[in-house]
Amino acid sequence: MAGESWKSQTWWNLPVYTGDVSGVCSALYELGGMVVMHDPSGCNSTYNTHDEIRWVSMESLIFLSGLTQLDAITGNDQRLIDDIVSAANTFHPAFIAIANSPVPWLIGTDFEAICKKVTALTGIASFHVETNAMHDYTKGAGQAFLHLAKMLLSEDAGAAGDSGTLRGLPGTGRIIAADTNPDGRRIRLNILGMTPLDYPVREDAMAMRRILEEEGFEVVSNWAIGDGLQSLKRSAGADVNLVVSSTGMETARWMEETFGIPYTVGVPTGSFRRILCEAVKKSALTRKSSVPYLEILNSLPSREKRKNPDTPVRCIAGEPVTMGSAAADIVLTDGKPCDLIALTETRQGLLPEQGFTPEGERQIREVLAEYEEVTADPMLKEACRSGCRFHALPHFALSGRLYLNQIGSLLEKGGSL
Amino acid sequence: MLKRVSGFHETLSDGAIAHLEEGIRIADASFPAPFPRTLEYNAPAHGTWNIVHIGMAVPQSHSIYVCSDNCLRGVVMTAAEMGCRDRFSSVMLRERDVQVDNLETITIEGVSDVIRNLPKEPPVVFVFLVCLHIFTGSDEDYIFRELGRRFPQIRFVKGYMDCIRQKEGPTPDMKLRMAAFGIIQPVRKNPARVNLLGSDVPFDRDCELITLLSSNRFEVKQIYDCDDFEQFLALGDAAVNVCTYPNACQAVKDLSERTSAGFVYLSAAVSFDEIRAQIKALSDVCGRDLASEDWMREQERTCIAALQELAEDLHDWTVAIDYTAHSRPLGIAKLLIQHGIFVECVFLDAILEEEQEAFNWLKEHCPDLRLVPTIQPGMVLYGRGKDVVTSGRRVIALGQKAAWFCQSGHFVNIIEGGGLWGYQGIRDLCALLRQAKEEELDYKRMIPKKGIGWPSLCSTVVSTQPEE
Repeated sequence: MAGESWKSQTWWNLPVYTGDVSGVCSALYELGGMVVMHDPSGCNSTYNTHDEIRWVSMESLIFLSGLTQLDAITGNDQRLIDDIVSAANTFHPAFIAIANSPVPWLIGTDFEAICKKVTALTGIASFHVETNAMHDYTKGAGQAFLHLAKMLLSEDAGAAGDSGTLRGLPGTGRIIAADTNPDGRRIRLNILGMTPLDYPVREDAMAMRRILEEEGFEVVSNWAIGDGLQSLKRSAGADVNLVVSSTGMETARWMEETFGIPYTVGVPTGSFRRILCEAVKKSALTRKSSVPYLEILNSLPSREKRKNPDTPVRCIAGEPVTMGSAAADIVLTDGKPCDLIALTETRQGLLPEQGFTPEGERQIREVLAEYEEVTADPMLKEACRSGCRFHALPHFALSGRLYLNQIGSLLEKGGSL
Repeated sequence: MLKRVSGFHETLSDGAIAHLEEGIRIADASFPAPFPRTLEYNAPAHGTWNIVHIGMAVPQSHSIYVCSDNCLRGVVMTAAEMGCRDRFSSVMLRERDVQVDNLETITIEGVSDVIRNLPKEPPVVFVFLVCLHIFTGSDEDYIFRELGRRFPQIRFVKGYMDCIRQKEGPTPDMKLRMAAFGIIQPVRKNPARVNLLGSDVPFDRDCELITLLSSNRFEVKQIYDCDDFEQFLALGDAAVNVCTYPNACQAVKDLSERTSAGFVYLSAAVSFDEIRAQIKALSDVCGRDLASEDWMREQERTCIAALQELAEDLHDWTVAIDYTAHSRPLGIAKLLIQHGIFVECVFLDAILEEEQEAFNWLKEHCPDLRLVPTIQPGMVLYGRGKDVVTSGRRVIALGQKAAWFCQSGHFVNIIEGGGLWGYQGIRDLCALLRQAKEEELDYKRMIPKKGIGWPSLCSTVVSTQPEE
């Protein structure tokens, strides 16, 4: 093994984020499909105990395959297929998603073939989400949304012209005014990347919709809290996508490539709300994607220049889209710089020049110790330096149920961060 | 009724739900596996212990799990909710560890790095290997030999979170118990010492089992009496080891062979004949007559009186029992039914060998008793409006899963028998069932919490979903 890469893989006291398999389940939970984790045991219990707040109150067809050593060694995929088909024939789910765990990944289980067979036997669309339990939830949920989008919107994709836009749907050449397009209707948008792992407060989904409607938008769909598949199927008709967590990035990029729908990244929180909404309108108008919180954070002087006794150095750490938006709000509210530290894996294009991406407990401690003021999940407090001014912002995907009763609406936090 | 997921609701008609029946009449059930293996559901009842709890029960131990993110998450958060983060660490596996190595390097270097970063070196470290170690052919002996060489003052214990093997051999918790007790070595024997081992639920000092022994001048120790690792190791001085929990049976048996101690397995007996047989077995291994015939007769008489009182109290109720509450759910069903208490269903996924007699009796005398699985996919519908109990009676649930599936706040919140044993165990069971009838608990908030007996820092929020 090259070098000392293991140094970024040890965690002697800090927790790890929700894993990719749980991310898949969380993303698809409310959509009427059936999710099967191809895993021996434990994934389902972990998921519904620590990573899912809806398990008690809302049913969903999420099951474990109960893979055995014998089946793995002998390559017996038939039991998995039979069991999925049996359950599908009982429940008639809207779709079937299969997520993967370490051993099937290691032995190269052919999930594409399994999905084809399941679809052929049940008549239900089936897809595989390429997890292997070695990544965090942003990867799993991101992949799940992407595969779902490809499944739901493939007909629309087929109808798209060479320009990459949909015939008969809003697209290239349609100039969109501030709040309406030439047809006199509102700008339509999809909310991408909303799961309780980043938004455990149920009301945030409604608040998000309300805020966006107040700002003059028509919300076509929410991927995926509170909306069913019927809403999601209309997504290709949107003018713009609003990506509210990194779990929505892959789908946003795919929809941009496939349908020409631009995206804007950020959360309408506090002082940042107005800037974000203007950016969404601009994206719809110019058909160019943007990450407006980056523009704010990149306009700050470098951290080195800020290091003086009169200016406490501040950071916010966590998932980059939500925390980047919060950082922008802090900058706008307080007029003081705030660095963004991304602790989750999906971050391409989501980090400012001053962004940091520590891996493993050692690096997280090293980075956080540099700051005099930190906003992060309470479990990270111990990694901060002594005397640090710490602002607790519980993140369900990190501290799970420990601080559930302290988690407030991310949208309403505003300058209170 | 709580909201049902929209798409699912649309696709599954009420008629289909109504006709989807889980569970079978015991008359139609096979032994020991009444249900086929298929996809698995997991109910939100988590009061039982997992391997994190079991490892932490060894005083001063530190646990290090070497596995991938998604697998780590459950054990990391278990430790965090227990308030034991300072006794738990992890090494997260990546693809490259498998691609360029067979996990030996990352395991050795990662565990070493963790230990060097701990504020104090623990006397004993549990290192948990996972399915990937098995499938990549890691040389486990080499790993532990190297760790021992690097840290000679630490006792390393090999634990497994190898779920892929649990259906074809001992479960991870069985293997962990064997490994944990495996470090106890023979020390100078104390003929008056008896260990009571295996149960994750501590027995009260005044319980019948301990009283029987202590009144005959035996000193009884449980793992919970050990304040530090040295005292844990000193458990090797016992003349007799008593095990009361099936999953720990082999571990305690192995310990007894190694330390040349007497061994007896006393299952959580729930019939008078069994209790008599167990007291005799305990007397034999201890070399003393622990209870007289008169005493046993008197105990039986008081038990019958308690059961009769219970039957009168519950005349219009039914009892539902689950396997997490007690390792002998069928035995309890038989006991209650024999004394006029209505039992409509028992929740279990497999039947222990020691339950065969009760199974046969119930099959013959109560053919309509329903065995209901807890992990079959159809169980996703229960606990949210669909009734398991069809008699119309109000339900007292014995155990968390029974409470969930029967949607009953009248429940007895115990796991693994709750320390109930012998005649007193029967009387206490009656008292708990009567108490459950009187008191309705907020089971939806209680049962998602992990590991009964451990502190819980978990702040459960039942629902942020508006009700219909």
